[in-house]
Amino acid sequence: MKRPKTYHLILTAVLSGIIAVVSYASAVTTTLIPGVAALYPAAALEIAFGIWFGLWGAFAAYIGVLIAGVTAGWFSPQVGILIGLGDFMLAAIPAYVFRKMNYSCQLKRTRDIVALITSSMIASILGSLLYNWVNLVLGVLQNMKAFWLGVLSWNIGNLLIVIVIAVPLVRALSRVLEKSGFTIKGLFE
Amino acid sequence: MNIKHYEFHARPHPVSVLASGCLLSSVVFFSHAPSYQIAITVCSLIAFVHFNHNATTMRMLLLTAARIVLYILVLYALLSQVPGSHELMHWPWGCYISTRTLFVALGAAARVNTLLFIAGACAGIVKPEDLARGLRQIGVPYWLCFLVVLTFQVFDRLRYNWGLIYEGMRSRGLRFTANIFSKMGRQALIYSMTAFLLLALRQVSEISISSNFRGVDAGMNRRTDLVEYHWGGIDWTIVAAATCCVCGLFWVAHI
Repeated sequence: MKRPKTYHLILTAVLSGIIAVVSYASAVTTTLIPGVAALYPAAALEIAFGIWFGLWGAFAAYIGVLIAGVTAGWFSPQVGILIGLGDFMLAAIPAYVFRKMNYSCQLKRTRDIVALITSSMIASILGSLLYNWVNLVLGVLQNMKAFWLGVLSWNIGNLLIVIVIAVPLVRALSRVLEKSGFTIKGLFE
Repeated sequence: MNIKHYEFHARPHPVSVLASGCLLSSVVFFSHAPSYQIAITVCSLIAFVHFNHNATTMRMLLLTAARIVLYILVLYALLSQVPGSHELMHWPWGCYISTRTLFVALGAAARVNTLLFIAGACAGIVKPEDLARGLRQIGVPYWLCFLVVLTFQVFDRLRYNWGLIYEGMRSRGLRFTANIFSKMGRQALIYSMTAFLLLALRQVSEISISSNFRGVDAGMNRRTDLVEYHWGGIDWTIVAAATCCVCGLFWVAHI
């Protein structure tokens, strides 16, 4: 196995810290079920980190949410290990799509914006199915009607966040980060 | 003296604490029997109070429990999916809360809170540094342990950065209280995030350079080694030999 470079490790640790702090601050005010926020602004950062830093951003999303959830008391470690995968996908799928299909992260063209919204929403749907299934098994959601209600509210919230925060954020910061040489071109390097 | 006293007493291995926490939580996760539920909830609560004295965490857990009960009551009252023998409260549009709904809500809150109590008790016992050391002892790769500890260590730095940027931006007239869906709110978010991210990424480079200097990248299996050198016989011999060489060269050149 190829060892990760120190820079990538430290980058992942710092990004995890940022996601943990932001998700903690954002979910505290709007949580309905523990760990499930009606509006979750940290999702915009997870998507942006995936686009800028590839899979390191996705790992950071996973670790950040896991640490925030366990330390803030939203879920226990082993539940977090499972449901954190939803946040990993939220960053990894846009990261993969943007790199494999050569979309520009500066979002200059309409098709770049469409790609960002579409890939984020696919990832969001997968994540919401996983998260609500875990809540169903835990007994927080008692039946399938409540499950689908949770999935729907999750995705409507994320769609708003993607359009209102993620798109302007990625568009505004991509140029600065690319010029400074901080972005990662491939998935890993 | 305190350190010696602390190390003298046998402490549980961090990984064993984590594993037993996960094992207990798994029982809660898969079991729906009320007797198990009550027993494990009470035990985990005692463990939590014993190991975690943080009042804020306790308050947050109690609020979480209250929120779950409220959420489930409202949701099932609206869906009217759990009919019971006795209807406690009638709501508009033909919705109602039954006794069974109340029990379901309390049971779910107990199950989720048990998981949180166990997690809180584990977090109260294990420090991130201990956890990294324990994981290292059972053969987890060094880079993963390093990542976990660094993430915890970076929180304070990020909080400090955010405080600086928040005050700076606020003094320049940016309104952080504005709604995030308004233009002003988005502007505040993007301006502050630009500064925050650039500062964080610059610090990543700085930490990376200092880590390389401390030998983290060389083999990735240890951090700094402190080796003390003492001036001994071999050193006197080397210096004497070098002096002799120089004198010899001068002598040869003189001839």
